[in-house]
Amino acid sequence: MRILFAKLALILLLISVLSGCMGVESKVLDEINLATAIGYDYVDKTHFEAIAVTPLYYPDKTIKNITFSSKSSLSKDVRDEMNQQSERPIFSGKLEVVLYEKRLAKQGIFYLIDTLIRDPSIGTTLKLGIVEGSSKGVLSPQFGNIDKGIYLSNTIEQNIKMGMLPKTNLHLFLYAHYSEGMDPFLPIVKALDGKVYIKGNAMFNSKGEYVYQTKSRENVIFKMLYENTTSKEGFSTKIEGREFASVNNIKTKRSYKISKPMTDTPITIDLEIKALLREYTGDEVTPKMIKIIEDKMSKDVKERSENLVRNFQKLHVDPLGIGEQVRTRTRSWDKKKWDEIYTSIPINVNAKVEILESGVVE
Amino acid sequence: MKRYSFFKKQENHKSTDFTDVLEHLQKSKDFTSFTLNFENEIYCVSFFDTLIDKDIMHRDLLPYLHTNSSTLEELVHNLPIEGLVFTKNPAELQSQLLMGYIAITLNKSDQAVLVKAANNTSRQVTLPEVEFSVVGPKEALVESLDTNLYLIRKRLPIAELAVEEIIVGKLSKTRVAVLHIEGIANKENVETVIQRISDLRVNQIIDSSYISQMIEDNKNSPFPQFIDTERPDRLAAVLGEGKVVILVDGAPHGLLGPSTFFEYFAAFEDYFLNWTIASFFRLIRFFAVLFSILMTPIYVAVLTYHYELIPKDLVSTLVISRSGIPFPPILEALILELAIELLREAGARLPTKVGQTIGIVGGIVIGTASVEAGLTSNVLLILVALSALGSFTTPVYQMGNTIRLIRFPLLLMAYFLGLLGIAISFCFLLVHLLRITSLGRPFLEPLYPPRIYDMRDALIRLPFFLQAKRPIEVQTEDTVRLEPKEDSKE
Repeated sequence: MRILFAKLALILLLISVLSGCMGVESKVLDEINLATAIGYDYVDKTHFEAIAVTPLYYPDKTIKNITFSSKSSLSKDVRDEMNQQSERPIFSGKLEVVLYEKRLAKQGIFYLIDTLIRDPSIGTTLKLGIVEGSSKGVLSPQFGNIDKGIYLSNTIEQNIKMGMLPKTNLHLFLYAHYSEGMDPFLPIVKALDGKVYIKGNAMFNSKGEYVYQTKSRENVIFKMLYENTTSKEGFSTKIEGREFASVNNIKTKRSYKISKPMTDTPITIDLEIKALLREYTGDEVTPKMIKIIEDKMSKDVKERSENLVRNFQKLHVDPLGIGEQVRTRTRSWDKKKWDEIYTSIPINVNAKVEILESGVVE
Repeated sequence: MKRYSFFKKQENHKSTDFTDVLEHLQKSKDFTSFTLNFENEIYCVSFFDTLIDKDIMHRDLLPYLHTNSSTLEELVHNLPIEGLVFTKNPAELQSQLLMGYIAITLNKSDQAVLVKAANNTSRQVTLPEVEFSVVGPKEALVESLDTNLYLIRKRLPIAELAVEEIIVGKLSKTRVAVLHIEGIANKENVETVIQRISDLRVNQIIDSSYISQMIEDNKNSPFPQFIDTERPDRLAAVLGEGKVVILVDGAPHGLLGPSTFFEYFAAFEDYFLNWTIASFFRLIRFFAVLFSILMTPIYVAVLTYHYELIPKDLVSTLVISRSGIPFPPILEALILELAIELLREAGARLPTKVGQTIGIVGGIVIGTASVEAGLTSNVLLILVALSALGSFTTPVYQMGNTIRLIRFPLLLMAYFLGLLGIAISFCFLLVHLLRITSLGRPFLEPLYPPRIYDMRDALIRLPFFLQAKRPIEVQTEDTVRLEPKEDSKE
């Protein structure tokens, strides 16, 4: 018995005394400032300005954002300088969104992303984005009774789930960057009186430099080509003269046909699109008419897809991961050789639109 | 069979003669001894007023003493009562007198006859209070060992039900009965129990819980190793499983062993309900226990160290509920946990009628007021209240207490080391549970050692026809309890 108590006492003593030496510092939730969004703005070639948004929660359930900003050439310095402004230490473990200004992205953002990768408290489901205008303009206006970082993250998430954004986060960005035969892309946001507006996708080349922005009509096409999707977002096609048809609730299936990888034989991408007809400005929708709409749409999608892919080839970026597809089908993968032939391989898209429902009209 | 296990060496009054014994007992005021003269025979009748049933004496004994009988044998022949013992041993005379016997001595004989006339005043068999069930039998054990044995024996009217009686306690001379079914129960279990009880060298056994604390395998463990039950139907059922039951005179609870950890979360009512419903209730109980042990420590750990783990939509709720609270999460949690424990303790100590006010005081004053005063956060209040509720779902009272106790070390470890501390202390707990045994049988069975068959009645309860064998845990002599149909043998 005495030995038992002695053991117990020793264990308790060790735990309480040694927990001081283990370097576990307490970060009590309400005694720290949680940065939920960080934006980087271009100042000059070597300097940037960082803006951090942290929410302040008031007991009456209102949430106000405070922003800290600092100019530097190193993220670490930025954090120190921000801490000098804050009454409570700023922690980045709940970081939801990191934004980079377009001008900064043109120079390459990898040296800025590095700090996010090194910090173990930052999760890889963090969302990255490119800002048109300044990130200060996006982050500093107060929007409603919600924290700006969470608002931004929810907006992007919602558009991935239901809208036109393909799945994107820090993990996928890094995967695309480090894998051979694939280049990363990020969503582009723009400030719109307090709110934000998702404009499209920004394409990066293999060096991590921003090179191209998708146009609004290209976004849905890009998503369909990038992954198998189920989205609420739709597209419309001109049928004849002033007649338009639009579909939504799209389910797509995409498959690659690469007969001879690593040669310049054509690559075919098959797109199977199943959709619901939501709008048609013409007369009655008969089965015959549906057939016509399907054909027109298939042709339209094919055209738009091939244009987009050609554009990517011209810019020598590969956000769709065509190189990745080739790499999985060959043993003689050679990155250098692929980079040489990528721009010249003919890439065809076969689209097949199927309309499952034409809606309730009567 | 009776085993006398008290201290013969220390017996002070080594009486040599009946008269010495009687004289010695005369010191007590409630001891009565008188003589009756018939012709030339002098009977001496002695007894303790307070121990005997006077009806028996007046109705069945005294009238027959008038009849003409010159020897004790003749007298006994005429008496219409059973339970007569002849003795020449003065020590036995004394001990039996103290058990409620009437002694009759004849002046010229060196023998005495002992007539059993014990006053069996005991409570009526009532509804079970601790283990109440909506369906099923509604009888509970009482303080009288004989009544309790009756309650069990009427459920098992077989010759194989063996009852061994041991007298324990130098002062209390408590009758302890060990029950098992011969041919089913493992002899090793039975012998272990009997040996441990016989070896007890104590003055008093007041209740069955004394026995359970003294004969447990690991006496320092906060976990009980014998299930304590007040239901005779449960006792009869586990006897059929091959377990050993201990009943103590004066205790309205019986003990049963060997037991496993999971049995403590099985209410006996589970067997009265359909197996799907019973399994669901059991799973809820396990969840409640895990919640009860881990919720407050996780709250403290996450709020103190791991803010990253909080979902983004929950951050604002937590921060807002904690804003303006001057204490760190650990103090806040300790204050609330202690408040709940105080409430429980106060409720248990107060008489029932006063006890009702405790609910009001606890609910309104401590709950609402402490949140309004900004001393605790309402999120934590909900968690603490739920975990207290969770600990009360445990059907066995002793296990409920254990669960409330082990929350506190976990809480402190969560404060010192965060989730790592919770993991460490949970490992300690698991290792402890793996090490303890009940009557030498593993406590964490069927989890470890993994016995798939016994899992049919652990976390869930499968239907009776799927439990054709008795639990492996008990190592019964006869394993089959559901005999196959005659025709299925062909």
